[in-house]
Amino acid sequence: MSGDSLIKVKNLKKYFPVSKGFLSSVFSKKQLNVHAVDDISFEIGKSETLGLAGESGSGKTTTGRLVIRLIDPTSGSVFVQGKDVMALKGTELKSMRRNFQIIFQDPYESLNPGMTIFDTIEEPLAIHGVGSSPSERQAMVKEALELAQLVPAEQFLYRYPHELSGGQRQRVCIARALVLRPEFLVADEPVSSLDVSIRAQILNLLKELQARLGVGYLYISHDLGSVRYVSQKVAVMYLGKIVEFAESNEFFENSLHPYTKALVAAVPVPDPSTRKVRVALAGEIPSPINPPPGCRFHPRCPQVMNICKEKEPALKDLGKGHLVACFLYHSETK
Amino acid sequence: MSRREKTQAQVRRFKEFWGQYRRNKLGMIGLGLIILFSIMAIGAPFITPYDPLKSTNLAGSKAAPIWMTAFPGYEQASRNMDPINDPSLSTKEAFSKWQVSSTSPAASVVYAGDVGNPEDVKQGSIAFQFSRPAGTSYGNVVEQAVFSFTSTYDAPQRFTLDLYYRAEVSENAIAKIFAVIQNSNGTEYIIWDKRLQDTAEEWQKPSPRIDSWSPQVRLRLTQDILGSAERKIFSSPGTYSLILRVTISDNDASSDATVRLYVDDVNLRGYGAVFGYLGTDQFGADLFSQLIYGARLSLIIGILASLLSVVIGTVLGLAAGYLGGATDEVLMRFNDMLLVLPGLPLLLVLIAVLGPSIWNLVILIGVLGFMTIARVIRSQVLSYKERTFIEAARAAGAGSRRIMFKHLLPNVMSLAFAQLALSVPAAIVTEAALSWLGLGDPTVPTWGRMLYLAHYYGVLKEWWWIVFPGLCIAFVSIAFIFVGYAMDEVLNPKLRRR
Amino acid sequence: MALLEVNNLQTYFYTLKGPVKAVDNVSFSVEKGAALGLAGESGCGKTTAALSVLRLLPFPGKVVSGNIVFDGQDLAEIPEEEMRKYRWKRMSIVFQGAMNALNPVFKIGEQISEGILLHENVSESEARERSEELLQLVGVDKSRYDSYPHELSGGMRQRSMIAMALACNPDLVIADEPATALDVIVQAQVLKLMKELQEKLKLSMILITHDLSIIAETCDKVAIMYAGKMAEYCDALSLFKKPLHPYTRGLLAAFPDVRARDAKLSSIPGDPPDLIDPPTGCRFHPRCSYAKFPICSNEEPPVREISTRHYAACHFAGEI
Repeated sequence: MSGDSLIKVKNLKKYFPVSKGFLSSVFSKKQLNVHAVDDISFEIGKSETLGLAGESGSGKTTTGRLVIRLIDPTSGSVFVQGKDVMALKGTELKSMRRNFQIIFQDPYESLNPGMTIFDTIEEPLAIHGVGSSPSERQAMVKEALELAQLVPAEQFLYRYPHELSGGQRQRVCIARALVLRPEFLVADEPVSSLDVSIRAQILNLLKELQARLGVGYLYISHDLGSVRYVSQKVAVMYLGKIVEFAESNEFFENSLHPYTKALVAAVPVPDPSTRKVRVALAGEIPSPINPPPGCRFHPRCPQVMNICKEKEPALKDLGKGHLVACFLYHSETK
Repeated sequence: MSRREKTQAQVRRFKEFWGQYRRNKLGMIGLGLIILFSIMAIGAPFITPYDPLKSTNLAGSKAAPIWMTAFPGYEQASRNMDPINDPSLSTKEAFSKWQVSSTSPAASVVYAGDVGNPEDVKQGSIAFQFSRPAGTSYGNVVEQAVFSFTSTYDAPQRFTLDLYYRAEVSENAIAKIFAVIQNSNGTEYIIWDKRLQDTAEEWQKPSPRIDSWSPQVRLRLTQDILGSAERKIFSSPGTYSLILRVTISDNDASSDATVRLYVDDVNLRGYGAVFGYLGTDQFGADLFSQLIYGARLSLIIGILASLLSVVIGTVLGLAAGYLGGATDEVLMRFNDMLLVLPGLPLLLVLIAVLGPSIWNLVILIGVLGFMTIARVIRSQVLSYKERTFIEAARAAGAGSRRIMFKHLLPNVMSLAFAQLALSVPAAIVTEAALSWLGLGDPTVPTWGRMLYLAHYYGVLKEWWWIVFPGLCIAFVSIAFIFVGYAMDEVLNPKLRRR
Repeated sequence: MALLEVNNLQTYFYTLKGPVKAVDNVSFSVEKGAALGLAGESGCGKTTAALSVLRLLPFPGKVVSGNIVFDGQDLAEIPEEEMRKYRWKRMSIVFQGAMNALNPVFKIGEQISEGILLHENVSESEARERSEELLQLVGVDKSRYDSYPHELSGGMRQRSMIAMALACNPDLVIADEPATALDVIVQAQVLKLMKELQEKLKLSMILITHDLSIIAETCDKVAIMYAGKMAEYCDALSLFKKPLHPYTRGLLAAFPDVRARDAKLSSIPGDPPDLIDPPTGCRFHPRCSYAKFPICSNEEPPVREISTRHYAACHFAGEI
């Protein structure tokens, strides 16, 4: 990993306590937890996109919210400009938020239905006291709309979310996220709710904005095609752990972890002539309340070994920045 | 530029809301009714000329509405009678309506154009004169002025005769004035008489007032202190006459004798048994006025009390819903405690202690009505709390207060309006109930007070006194409920999804 | 002869703001044992077309004209009681968001049996046996007959819905976005299952989806719909190798392929149109980079056969 890093995530953990029924909480003392995010670390460089892939239950969505501290972690740190975000409080925390923003999956839900577009985008400015006069703020809002390619901006200022299409709404969310010119953006499934012909528009917009403004992204998605399209580096999560991390092309063309291989192979391709045999994995992701012992993937792994059932493999750097957590690649077991 | 566009955006939103609201039939009916009642409330002074409480004795007590004369038993019911058109006698014309006569050439009844009751701007009066030089005496002389009128109805509930007189009597004459009513059969009934003596400089009026309900008149005419003088005299329709008769006993010829009696502002009034659009109450005040003015009160009380409830409930609901945790627990326990207390008995006790003024009523009804609203708003807030745009606001750095008042409140506002509409009927009915129980403000003409008085004065056959205020209360309540339901229907789906 | 032939189907929704022309003159056919993919974005009319075939349109939708010939019988004409004999027995549907279409208070096995009992004269235990067989067929352990929907994972619920659709051995199954809400691996499992079932039971299938890659993997023929109209209709291979309609090309270019290095995605500008007041002429013309005025804005292009069995509705198909 090179380049000045924008954020450094270290040993991030998030457990959610599971509320049990009254009787079981009386009779059993053990507290059950959902191991949503279980000790992950990574770095994202300036103006770089890290794609975080995985299925539902993998913990990627929780990771996105943890990194910008929308929810508090159970333990671990996120270093930004040398400071640990998780240790900040009060006004320091609030001013940190200027630099980090998030775009959510459902553009309609992310907008207050009772507020005009102008009010929505102006709000971050008002919260952080940016802009010394109303006309200055209006100019900043218009600029943000133009960045998001909603032109002419005046036409959109006083509309309400329900008057816009899905693609337009997501652009409003992007404009809102960018109005403070943050250095880092978490994009949580930003195109999954949109029509296919609109997805490409938004993905291209994100790439363009990165080139123009130098924003770094954490791009979270289960759609591997879009992950490859926008990311320079890719990490895949399984049951709260990162099992593989590599540069984008290396990740997809030279996948090492059995899960990654299965995942990449399972993605349908728009080409009827290549009806390959997809390594369809059996079974489904187990419950994150009680993850399997040892390597979490071992019950479904087609290449499982004895050691996998007992010990958890660590993320090992195999060179060229390609990390895998699998005993198949640990020299001791070879 | 932005101000105008902002308003334009809001106008657009309102137009959308209105377009949807218009389609809701019940909502439109409700709105129409509310507009009707508002017109009633605002236009009260124009719709009815009487002050609802202070204009008493407009007609008989507990008179029936005029339209009741279409029903059997009421066809001949008496209307108000005021036969003497110009009691102040300001013109000779007015005087010419009286038929004058006298039994002696020395006596005459003339029109005195320049003498009049000083309290009355217009001059003019009837003058009964008798004058003779010393030497001859005339014995008994009678002169009278007669005013005839017809009555086509049954006997009035009550009649009064007012007049002012000023006498100048020489010492050797004895004069007496009689007020007599001659009925259609020719029978004469003396309702008042007075011995005139000396000279009086001031105008006087009969004391006690000539009133068919006074014990004097009753006894005089029926020998029964509770008898009906009206029915005795006005037994059937026909021509009646009011006779002002002056008798003079002139027996002392030793000196000049003069009698001069001026009578002015003669006013004979019959109080009808039917009056107005809704009849009268116990005191003869117009019930229709009370009904119309009652609209003002009901609307004001209903809306103000309801507003108070909604404001308290919304703030509570917002805080409990969004802040959660201990705040939620404490606020909701408090809310539930008040919810459990029996409303009306509590109100009764509080009103009895604090006094039944209208403001106490509004405040108490308002303060004791917030509980359900708080719960409803809290639920709405809870469902909004998890929505992504709240998360987005937090991600942008918004604090709790900002989220509650800039994000949650506007979205909850429409629900609050619907709740406002729905709680107005409760407030109106509570006020009516309290008034009916006698704990209302007696100085304020509300529909509840009308019902209270009806009940208090033992109304049996005057059904209109009860039915119409009751219907008004019912219709205003229905109107607000329709509007509230319509608003609910229109606003809720829009908030969820489009 | 094709099992299902839909000709010139027109389905409108009569709303307060005017009629929404959800399906406007669409024709397609499905052969026995073959799979047709009905593709397009949200609002293009694919779900409405499928529901029209089953005559399950929600109010205020109505099939205005066209014929729906299933196994020789025109379904558009017959009365409702007759239609019920076709529904579920001869053709069935797996709904969109199927996982949430299960009744949460009934066991899933019972819900499958319900379908069987309604249409066939069998006893309850026979129905139960058959349901258990179906569950196994779709890869769910038959002990799950007694489970409630919330006890199953998303993939298992989807499979249960498929089992339900197969309950009465239909000839045609319509699957509306069967894989959309599922994870990639589960999606692959379910699609593999559907392919296997199709081959094993000689099922005809109409697969409705917006994901062209799924169609590439599972369907023999494809119909692309746009704004209620048919844009392109041909076999799957031709569609991906030689797309004729500009919209199809735009869609294909907008799909990020996971195999592509340094891909260049091009997007289709603009937004899908309003169906109450659609654009004049060719409904795609406002977003089409090949549009030539005035013909594209004035004349609606008819669906023409450009090359063998390859239809497109574009004035310039084959030239561009």
